[in-house]
Amino acid sequence: MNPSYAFIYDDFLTDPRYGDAVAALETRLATLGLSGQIGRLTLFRSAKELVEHHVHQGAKTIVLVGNDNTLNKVMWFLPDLPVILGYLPVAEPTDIATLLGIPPGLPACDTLGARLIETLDMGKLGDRYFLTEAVFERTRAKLAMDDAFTLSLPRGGDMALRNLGGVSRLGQSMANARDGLLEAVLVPNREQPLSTRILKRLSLGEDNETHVFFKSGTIASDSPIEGHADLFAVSGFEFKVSVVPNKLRVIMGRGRRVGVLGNNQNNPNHQ
Amino acid sequence: MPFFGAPAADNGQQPQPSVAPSAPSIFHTSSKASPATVIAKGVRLEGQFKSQGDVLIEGEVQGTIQTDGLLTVGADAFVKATVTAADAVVAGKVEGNVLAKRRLEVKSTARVNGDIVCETIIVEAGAALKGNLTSGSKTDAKPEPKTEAPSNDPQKTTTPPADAAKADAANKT
Repeated sequence: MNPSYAFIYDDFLTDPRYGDAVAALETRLATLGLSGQIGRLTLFRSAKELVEHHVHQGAKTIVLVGNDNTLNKVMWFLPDLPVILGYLPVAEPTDIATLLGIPPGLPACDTLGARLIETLDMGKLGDRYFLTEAVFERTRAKLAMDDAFTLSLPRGGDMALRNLGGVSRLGQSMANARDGLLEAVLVPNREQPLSTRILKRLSLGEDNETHVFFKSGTIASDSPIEGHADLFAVSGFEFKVSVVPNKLRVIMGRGRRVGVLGNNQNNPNHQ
Repeated sequence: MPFFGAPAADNGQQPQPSVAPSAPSIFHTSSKASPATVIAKGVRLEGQFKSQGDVLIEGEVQGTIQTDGLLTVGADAFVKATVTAADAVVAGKVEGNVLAKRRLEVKSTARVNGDIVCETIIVEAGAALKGNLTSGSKTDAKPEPKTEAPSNDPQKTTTPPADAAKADAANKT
Protein backbone atom coordinates (compact mmCIF):
# COMPACT_ATOMS: atom_id res chain seq x y z
CA MET A 1 0.00 0.00 0.00
CA ASN A 2 1.18 3.47 -0.84
CA PRO A 3 0.31 5.69 2.16
CA SER A 4 0.69 8.87 0.15
CA TYR A 5 -2.50 7.99 -1.73
CA ALA A 6 -5.95 8.26 -0.18
CA PHE A 7 -8.99 7.12 -2.14
CA ILE A 8 -12.28 8.75 -1.18
CA TYR A 9 -15.28 6.73 -2.35
CA ASP A 10 -18.63 8.38 -2.82
CA ASP A 11 -21.49 6.82 -0.90
CA PHE A 12 -23.44 5.81 -4.02
CA LEU A 13 -20.70 3.28 -4.80
CA THR A 14 -22.08 1.05 -2.04
CA ASP A 15 -24.88 0.24 -4.47
CA PRO A 16 -24.35 -3.38 -5.61
CA ARG A 17 -24.51 -2.43 -9.28
CA TYR A 18 -21.19 -0.62 -8.92
CA GLY A 19 -19.56 -3.54 -7.12
CA ASP A 20 -17.90 -5.03 -10.19
CA ALA A 21 -16.66 -1.67 -11.44
CA VAL A 22 -15.12 -0.78 -8.09
CA ALA A 23 -13.51 -4.21 -7.77
CA ALA A 24 -12.00 -3.87 -11.22
CA LEU A 25 -10.68 -0.42 -10.34
CA GLU A 26 -9.06 -1.68 -7.16
CA THR A 27 -7.42 -4.56 -9.00
CA ARG A 28 -6.04 -2.20 -11.62
CA LEU A 29 -4.77 0.22 -8.98
CA ALA A 30 -3.04 -2.63 -7.14
CA THR A 31 -1.40 -3.69 -10.40
CA LEU A 32 -0.10 -0.15 -10.89
CA GLY A 33 1.10 0.03 -7.29
CA LEU A 34 -1.28 2.85 -6.48
CA SER A 35 -3.33 1.28 -3.72
CA GLY A 36 -3.62 3.51 -0.70
CA GLN A 37 -5.77 4.52 2.23
CA ILE A 38 -9.50 4.27 1.69
CA GLY A 39 -12.23 6.53 3.03
CA ARG A 40 -15.93 6.48 2.31
CA LEU A 41 -18.25 9.44 2.16
CA THR A 42 -21.54 8.85 3.91
CA LEU A 43 -24.64 10.91 4.38
CA PHE A 44 -23.86 12.09 7.91
CA ARG A 45 -20.10 12.26 7.62
CA SER A 46 -18.32 15.52 6.86
CA ALA A 47 -16.31 15.26 3.67
CA LYS A 48 -13.95 17.92 4.99
CA GLU A 49 -13.21 16.01 8.19
CA LEU A 50 -12.71 12.78 6.26
CA VAL A 51 -10.24 14.30 3.81
CA GLU A 52 -8.39 16.20 6.52
CA HIS A 53 -8.09 12.98 8.50
CA HIS A 54 -6.34 11.28 5.57
CA VAL A 55 -4.09 14.30 5.04
CA HIS A 56 -3.03 14.05 8.69
CA GLN A 57 -2.33 10.35 8.09
CA GLY A 58 0.21 11.35 5.42
CA ALA A 59 -1.81 11.38 2.24
CA LYS A 60 -0.31 13.60 -0.44
CA THR A 61 -2.70 12.65 -3.21
CA ILE A 62 -6.43 12.59 -2.64
CA VAL A 63 -8.19 10.50 -5.28
CA LEU A 64 -11.94 10.88 -5.55
CA VAL A 65 -13.84 7.87 -6.79
CA GLY A 66 -17.35 8.57 -8.01
CA ASN A 67 -18.64 11.20 -10.39
CA ASP A 68 -18.63 15.00 -10.84
CA ASN A 69 -20.88 15.38 -7.81
CA THR A 70 -18.18 13.72 -5.71
CA LEU A 71 -15.80 16.44 -6.86
CA ASN A 72 -18.28 19.08 -5.85
CA LYS A 73 -18.46 17.66 -2.34
CA VAL A 74 -14.79 18.41 -1.69
CA MET A 75 -13.89 21.17 -4.10
CA TRP A 76 -14.99 23.99 -1.80
CA PHE A 77 -12.25 23.25 0.76
CA LEU A 78 -9.67 21.06 -1.01
CA PRO A 79 -7.59 23.89 -2.55
CA ASP A 80 -6.49 24.97 0.94
CA LEU A 81 -5.00 21.54 1.70
CA PRO A 82 -1.46 20.58 0.65
CA VAL A 83 -2.56 17.76 -1.62
CA ILE A 84 -2.78 16.81 -5.25
CA LEU A 85 -6.23 15.91 -6.54
CA GLY A 86 -6.84 12.75 -8.51
CA TYR A 87 -10.18 11.67 -9.93
CA LEU A 88 -11.54 8.29 -10.99
CA PRO A 89 -14.93 8.81 -12.64
CA VAL A 90 -17.06 5.71 -12.32
CA ALA A 91 -20.54 6.99 -13.14
CA GLU A 92 -22.28 9.87 -14.88
CA PRO A 93 -22.09 12.85 -14.84
CA THR A 94 -18.48 13.05 -15.98
CA ASP A 95 -18.39 16.45 -17.68
CA ILE A 96 -15.63 17.75 -15.44
CA ALA A 97 -13.67 14.56 -16.00
CA THR A 98 -13.92 15.18 -19.72
CA LEU A 99 -12.62 18.71 -19.28
CA LEU A 100 -9.73 17.36 -17.26
CA GLY A 101 -9.01 14.71 -19.85
CA ILE A 102 -9.78 11.81 -17.54
CA PRO A 103 -11.56 8.90 -19.20
CA PRO A 104 -14.32 7.15 -17.25
CA GLY A 105 -13.79 3.70 -15.80
CA LEU A 106 -10.61 1.64 -15.79
CA PRO A 107 -8.53 3.84 -18.15
CA ALA A 108 -8.69 6.55 -15.48
CA CYS A 109 -6.30 4.41 -13.39
CA ASP A 110 -3.67 4.74 -16.11
CA THR A 111 -4.20 8.51 -16.16
CA LEU A 112 -3.70 8.52 -12.41
CA GLY A 113 -0.51 6.50 -12.77
CA ALA A 114 0.84 8.82 -15.44
CA ARG A 115 0.69 11.72 -12.95
CA LEU A 116 0.49 14.55 -15.42
CA ILE A 117 0.00 17.30 -12.87
CA GLU A 118 -1.43 20.68 -13.76
CA THR A 119 -1.97 23.63 -11.48
CA LEU A 120 -5.33 25.30 -11.98
CA ASP A 121 -6.91 28.55 -10.92
CA MET A 122 -9.88 28.35 -8.60
CA GLY A 123 -12.83 30.67 -8.52
CA LYS A 124 -14.00 31.97 -5.18
CA LEU A 125 -17.54 33.02 -4.40
CA GLY A 126 -17.63 34.51 -0.93
CA ASP A 127 -15.44 32.12 1.05
CA ARG A 128 -16.25 29.06 -1.09
CA TYR A 129 -14.04 27.79 -3.89
CA PHE A 130 -15.43 26.59 -7.18
CA LEU A 131 -13.68 24.84 -10.04
CA THR A 132 -16.09 25.19 -12.94
CA GLU A 133 -18.65 27.97 -12.59
CA ALA A 134 -21.02 29.91 -10.39
CA VAL A 135 -24.43 30.37 -11.99
CA PHE A 136 -27.25 32.79 -11.20
CA GLU A 137 -30.38 32.27 -13.24
CA ARG A 138 -33.15 34.77 -13.94
CA THR A 139 -31.46 37.57 -12.07
CA ARG A 140 -31.29 41.34 -12.30
CA ALA A 141 -28.14 41.53 -10.23
CA LYS A 142 -25.33 43.89 -11.19
CA LEU A 143 -21.79 42.68 -11.55
CA ALA A 144 -19.15 45.27 -10.63
CA MET A 145 -15.78 44.19 -12.02
CA ASP A 146 -12.23 45.06 -11.06
CA ASP A 147 -13.41 48.34 -9.46
CA ALA A 148 -13.69 49.79 -12.95
CA PHE A 149 -16.98 49.00 -14.59
CA THR A 150 -20.38 47.45 -14.03
CA LEU A 151 -22.33 44.97 -16.10
CA SER A 152 -26.07 44.77 -15.73
CA LEU A 153 -29.04 43.08 -17.30
CA PRO A 154 -31.78 45.73 -17.46
CA ARG A 155 -34.40 43.18 -18.48
CA GLY A 156 -32.96 40.37 -16.39
CA GLY A 157 -31.29 37.21 -17.54
CA ASP A 158 -28.83 34.50 -16.62
CA MET A 159 -25.33 35.09 -15.32
CA ALA A 160 -22.48 32.57 -15.12
CA LEU A 161 -19.00 33.17 -13.76
CA ARG A 162 -16.73 30.56 -15.26
CA ASN A 163 -13.33 29.38 -14.22
CA LEU A 164 -13.16 26.21 -16.28
CA GLY A 165 -15.28 24.87 -19.09
CA GLY A 166 -17.91 26.27 -21.32
CA VAL A 167 -17.84 25.66 -25.04
CA SER A 168 -18.67 28.16 -27.74
CA ARG A 169 -20.68 27.41 -30.85
CA LEU A 170 -17.43 27.15 -32.76
CA GLY A 171 -16.25 24.40 -30.45
CA GLN A 172 -13.78 26.58 -28.61
CA SER A 173 -13.58 26.35 -24.88
CA MET A 174 -14.38 29.71 -23.36
CA ALA A 175 -12.86 29.64 -19.92
CA ASN A 176 -9.26 28.70 -19.37
CA ALA A 177 -8.47 27.73 -15.79
CA ARG A 178 -4.86 28.83 -16.13
CA ASP A 179 -5.20 32.38 -17.35
CA GLY A 180 -5.71 34.03 -13.96
CA LEU A 181 -9.10 35.30 -15.05
CA LEU A 182 -12.74 34.47 -14.61
CA GLU A 183 -15.15 34.77 -17.48
CA ALA A 184 -18.53 36.39 -16.97
CA VAL A 185 -21.17 35.07 -19.35
CA LEU A 186 -24.45 36.99 -19.39
CA VAL A 187 -27.50 35.94 -21.34
CA PRO A 188 -30.33 38.48 -21.23
CA ASN A 189 -33.97 37.50 -21.22
CA ARG A 190 -35.71 37.93 -24.51
CA GLU A 191 -39.21 39.25 -24.82
CA GLN A 192 -40.73 37.71 -27.92
CA PRO A 193 -44.25 36.99 -29.04
CA LEU A 194 -45.04 33.38 -28.31
CA SER A 195 -45.85 32.65 -31.93
CA THR A 196 -42.40 33.61 -33.17
CA ARG A 197 -40.39 32.24 -30.28
CA ILE A 198 -39.92 28.73 -31.64
CA LEU A 199 -39.51 29.83 -35.23
CA LYS A 200 -36.83 32.31 -34.31
CA ARG A 201 -34.98 29.78 -32.26
CA LEU A 202 -35.01 27.39 -35.18
CA SER A 203 -34.02 29.89 -37.83
CA LEU A 204 -31.64 32.28 -36.14
CA GLY A 205 -29.66 30.29 -33.66
CA GLU A 206 -27.78 33.49 -32.90
CA ASP A 207 -25.40 33.80 -30.05
CA ASN A 208 -26.63 36.37 -27.58
CA GLU A 209 -24.03 35.82 -24.90
CA THR A 210 -21.94 38.53 -23.34
CA HIS A 211 -18.38 37.48 -22.52
CA VAL A 212 -16.18 39.61 -20.29
CA PHE A 213 -12.99 38.56 -18.51
CA PHE A 214 -12.10 39.83 -15.05
CA LYS A 215 -10.16 39.08 -11.89
CA SER A 216 -12.46 40.14 -9.10
CA GLY A 217 -15.84 41.66 -8.67
CA THR A 218 -19.02 41.92 -6.69
CA ILE A 219 -22.48 40.66 -7.54
CA ALA A 220 -25.15 42.71 -5.85
CA SER A 221 -28.89 43.04 -6.05
CA ASP A 222 -31.72 44.68 -4.14
CA SER A 223 -33.57 41.39 -4.06
CA PRO A 224 -32.10 38.09 -2.87
CA ILE A 225 -29.94 36.29 -5.41
CA GLU A 226 -30.00 32.53 -5.63
CA GLY A 227 -27.51 30.48 -7.53
CA HIS A 228 -25.05 27.66 -7.29
CA ALA A 229 -21.30 27.32 -7.39
CA ASP A 230 -20.17 23.87 -8.56
CA LEU A 231 -23.71 22.65 -7.83
CA PHE A 232 -23.61 24.04 -4.26
CA ALA A 233 -26.59 26.31 -3.66
CA VAL A 234 -25.86 29.86 -2.51
CA SER A 235 -28.20 32.67 -1.59
CA GLY A 236 -27.76 36.28 -0.53
CA PHE A 237 -27.88 39.93 -1.53
CA GLU A 238 -24.21 40.40 -2.34
CA PHE A 239 -21.30 38.11 -3.20
CA LYS A 240 -17.67 38.85 -3.73
CA VAL A 241 -16.23 36.80 -6.55
CA SER A 242 -12.61 36.44 -7.53
CA VAL A 243 -10.09 34.12 -9.08
CA VAL A 244 -7.29 32.54 -7.05
CA PRO A 245 -4.50 31.75 -9.51
CA ASN A 246 -2.54 28.50 -9.35
CA LYS A 247 -4.44 27.14 -6.39
CA LEU A 248 -5.28 23.50 -7.14
CA ARG A 249 -2.95 20.76 -8.35
CA VAL A 250 -4.76 18.14 -10.35
CA ILE A 251 -3.72 14.94 -12.11
CA MET A 252 -5.05 15.17 -15.63
CA GLY A 253 -5.13 13.20 -18.83
CA ARG A 254 -3.19 14.06 -21.91
CA GLY A 255 -6.01 13.19 -24.27
CA ARG A 256 -7.94 16.40 -23.76
CA ARG A 257 -5.22 18.73 -24.84
CA VAL A 258 -7.17 19.44 -27.99
CA GLY A 259 -10.57 19.01 -26.43
CA VAL A 260 -10.17 21.60 -23.72
CA LEU A 261 -9.13 24.62 -25.67
CA GLY A 262 -9.29 23.53 -29.24
CA ASN A 263 -11.78 22.03 -31.59
CA ASN A 264 -14.23 19.93 -29.61
CA GLN A 265 -16.06 18.53 -32.58
CA ASN A 266 -14.62 15.08 -31.94
CA ASN A 267 -15.68 15.17 -28.34
CA PRO A 268 -19.19 13.79 -27.95
CA ASN A 269 -19.54 15.22 -24.47
CA HIS A 270 -19.28 18.77 -25.76
CA GLN A 271 -22.41 19.66 -27.64
CA MET B 1 4.65 24.45 3.44
CA PRO B 2 4.83 25.98 -0.05
CA PHE B 3 3.36 22.91 -1.63
CA PHE B 4 1.45 24.44 -4.49
CA GLY B 5 4.46 26.14 -5.94
CA ALA B 6 6.63 23.02 -5.84
CA PRO B 7 7.47 21.22 -9.08
CA ALA B 8 5.42 18.14 -9.83
CA ALA B 9 8.44 15.84 -9.94
CA ASP B 10 9.69 16.77 -6.48
CA ASN B 11 7.44 14.39 -4.60
CA GLY B 12 9.72 11.53 -3.74
CA GLN B 13 7.05 9.31 -2.18
CA GLN B 14 4.99 9.14 -5.32
CA PRO B 15 5.45 6.45 -7.97
CA GLN B 16 7.76 7.40 -10.78
CA PRO B 17 5.72 9.24 -13.36
CA SER B 18 5.57 7.59 -16.72
CA VAL B 19 5.06 10.98 -18.35
CA ALA B 20 7.81 13.53 -18.17
CA PRO B 21 6.84 16.39 -15.85
CA SER B 22 8.02 18.81 -18.46
CA ALA B 23 5.27 17.68 -20.84
CA PRO B 24 3.49 20.67 -22.33
CA SER B 25 0.47 21.96 -20.52
CA ILE B 26 -2.86 20.70 -21.73
CA PHE B 27 -4.19 24.21 -21.33
CA HIS B 28 -3.42 26.80 -23.91
CA THR B 29 -1.90 29.92 -22.43
CA SER B 30 -2.56 32.77 -24.79
CA SER B 31 0.42 35.05 -24.93
CA LYS B 32 -0.39 36.86 -28.13
CA ALA B 33 -3.73 38.44 -27.34
CA SER B 34 -6.45 38.49 -24.75
CA PRO B 35 -9.65 36.67 -25.54
CA ALA B 36 -12.38 38.63 -27.27
CA THR B 37 -14.86 40.52 -25.14
CA VAL B 38 -18.49 40.61 -26.23
CA ILE B 39 -21.15 42.94 -24.86
CA ALA B 40 -24.31 41.46 -26.32
CA LYS B 41 -27.68 43.05 -26.87
CA GLY B 42 -29.65 43.45 -23.65
CA VAL B 43 -26.56 44.06 -21.51
CA ARG B 44 -25.39 47.42 -20.21
CA LEU B 45 -21.79 48.25 -19.32
CA GLU B 46 -21.05 51.35 -17.25
CA GLY B 47 -17.63 52.65 -16.25
CA GLN B 48 -14.10 52.50 -17.53
CA PHE B 49 -13.53 49.43 -19.63
CA LYS B 50 -10.01 48.48 -20.75
CA SER B 51 -9.06 45.50 -22.85
CA GLN B 52 -6.04 44.22 -24.69
CA GLY B 53 -8.04 42.07 -27.09
CA ASP B 54 -10.84 42.58 -29.54
CA VAL B 55 -14.12 43.99 -28.29
CA LEU B 56 -17.55 43.54 -29.86
CA ILE B 57 -20.37 45.74 -28.60
CA GLU B 58 -23.96 45.03 -29.46
CA GLY B 59 -25.48 46.31 -26.24
CA GLU B 60 -25.24 49.56 -24.33
CA VAL B 61 -22.05 51.17 -23.02
CA GLN B 62 -21.55 54.33 -20.95
CA GLY B 63 -18.19 55.66 -19.81
CA THR B 64 -14.93 55.00 -21.60
CA ILE B 65 -13.73 52.14 -23.76
CA GLN B 66 -10.09 51.50 -24.41
CA THR B 67 -8.68 48.55 -26.31
CA ASP B 68 -5.46 47.63 -28.04
CA GLY B 69 -7.34 45.49 -30.51
CA LEU B 70 -10.28 45.82 -32.85
CA LEU B 71 -13.40 47.50 -31.51
CA THR B 72 -16.64 46.69 -33.31
CA VAL B 73 -19.80 48.61 -32.53
CA GLY B 74 -22.75 46.63 -33.89
CA ALA B 75 -25.71 48.12 -35.70
CA ASP B 76 -28.00 47.95 -32.66
CA ALA B 77 -25.40 49.11 -30.17
CA PHE B 78 -25.52 52.40 -28.31
CA VAL B 79 -22.21 53.72 -27.06
CA LYS B 80 -22.17 56.87 -24.97
CA ALA B 81 -18.48 56.89 -24.26
CA THR B 82 -15.06 58.09 -25.20
CA VAL B 83 -13.66 55.39 -27.42
CA THR B 84 -10.00 54.53 -27.98
CA ALA B 85 -8.99 51.56 -30.10
CA ALA B 86 -6.27 50.39 -32.45
CA ASP B 87 -8.85 49.71 -35.17
CA ALA B 88 -12.56 50.31 -35.06
CA VAL B 89 -15.64 49.41 -37.05
CA VAL B 90 -18.71 51.43 -36.19
CA ALA B 91 -22.15 50.39 -37.37
CA GLY B 92 -24.23 51.64 -34.46
CA LYS B 93 -24.77 54.83 -32.52
CA VAL B 94 -21.80 56.48 -30.82
CA GLU B 95 -22.04 59.61 -28.69
CA GLY B 96 -18.53 60.63 -27.76
CA ASN B 97 -15.10 61.12 -29.21
CA VAL B 98 -13.54 58.30 -31.19
CA LEU B 99 -9.80 57.74 -31.47
CA ALA B 100 -8.70 54.94 -33.80
CA LYS B 101 -4.94 54.64 -33.83
CA ARG B 102 -4.92 53.01 -37.23
CA ARG B 103 -8.11 52.49 -39.16
CA LEU B 104 -11.72 53.46 -38.64
CA GLU B 105 -14.52 52.02 -40.70
CA VAL B 106 -17.88 53.75 -40.47
CA LYS B 107 -20.74 51.66 -41.81
CA SER B 108 -23.85 53.03 -43.49
CA THR B 109 -25.97 52.44 -40.39
CA ALA B 110 -23.59 54.34 -38.11
CA ARG B 111 -24.47 57.53 -36.25
CA VAL B 112 -21.43 59.19 -34.69
CA ASN B 113 -21.87 62.33 -32.61
CA GLY B 114 -18.40 63.40 -31.55
CA ASP B 115 -14.90 64.17 -32.75
CA ILE B 116 -13.01 61.54 -34.69
CA VAL B 117 -9.26 61.12 -34.85
CA CYS B 118 -7.79 58.30 -36.91
CA GLU B 119 -5.04 57.49 -39.35
CA THR B 120 -7.28 56.05 -42.04
CA ILE B 121 -11.03 56.37 -42.34
CA ILE B 122 -13.54 54.62 -44.54
CA VAL B 123 -17.07 55.99 -44.54
CA GLU B 124 -19.92 54.20 -46.25
CA ALA B 125 -22.71 56.14 -47.93
CA GLY B 126 -25.52 56.80 -45.48
CA ALA B 127 -23.40 57.13 -42.38
CA ALA B 128 -24.09 60.20 -40.23
CA LEU B 129 -21.13 62.02 -38.67
CA LYS B 130 -21.38 65.11 -36.47
CA GLY B 131 -18.12 66.52 -35.14
CA ASN B 132 -14.54 67.27 -36.12
CA LEU B 133 -12.62 64.78 -38.19
CA THR B 134 -8.84 64.48 -38.15
CA SER B 135 -7.26 61.77 -40.25
CA GLY B 136 -4.25 61.00 -42.39
CA SER B 137 -1.53 61.31 -39.77
CA LYS B 138 -0.24 59.46 -36.75
CA THR B 139 -2.80 59.74 -34.02
CA ASP B 140 -0.94 60.32 -30.80
CA ALA B 141 -3.22 63.02 -29.41
CA LYS B 142 -6.68 62.48 -28.08
CA PRO B 143 -9.48 64.22 -29.93
CA GLU B 144 -10.00 67.66 -28.48
CA PRO B 145 -13.35 69.28 -27.90
CA LYS B 146 -14.31 72.10 -30.19
CA THR B 147 -11.81 75.01 -29.99
CA GLU B 148 -13.08 78.19 -28.42
CA ALA B 149 -13.53 81.35 -30.50
CA PRO B 150 -10.66 83.86 -30.17
CA SER B 151 -11.26 86.20 -27.28
CA ASN B 152 -11.11 90.00 -27.48
CA ASP B 153 -9.65 90.23 -24.01
CA PRO B 154 -6.06 91.53 -24.48
CA GLN B 155 -4.85 89.69 -21.38
CA LYS B 156 -5.90 86.39 -22.85
CA THR B 157 -4.38 86.88 -26.30
CA THR B 158 -1.15 85.03 -26.84
CA THR B 159 1.70 86.05 -29.10
CA PRO B 160 3.25 83.49 -31.41
CA PRO B 161 6.90 82.75 -30.50
CA ALA B 162 8.28 84.22 -33.75
CA ASP B 163 6.41 87.49 -33.25
CA ALA B 164 7.51 87.63 -29.66
CA ALA B 165 11.17 87.33 -30.70
CA LYS B 166 10.75 90.15 -33.21
CA ALA B 167 9.16 92.35 -30.54
CA ASP B 168 12.06 91.67 -28.16
CA ALA B 169 14.58 92.63 -30.82
CA ALA B 170 12.73 95.86 -31.56
CA ASN B 171 12.64 96.75 -27.87
CA LYS B 172 16.40 96.19 -27.54
CA THR B 173 17.15 98.53 -30.47
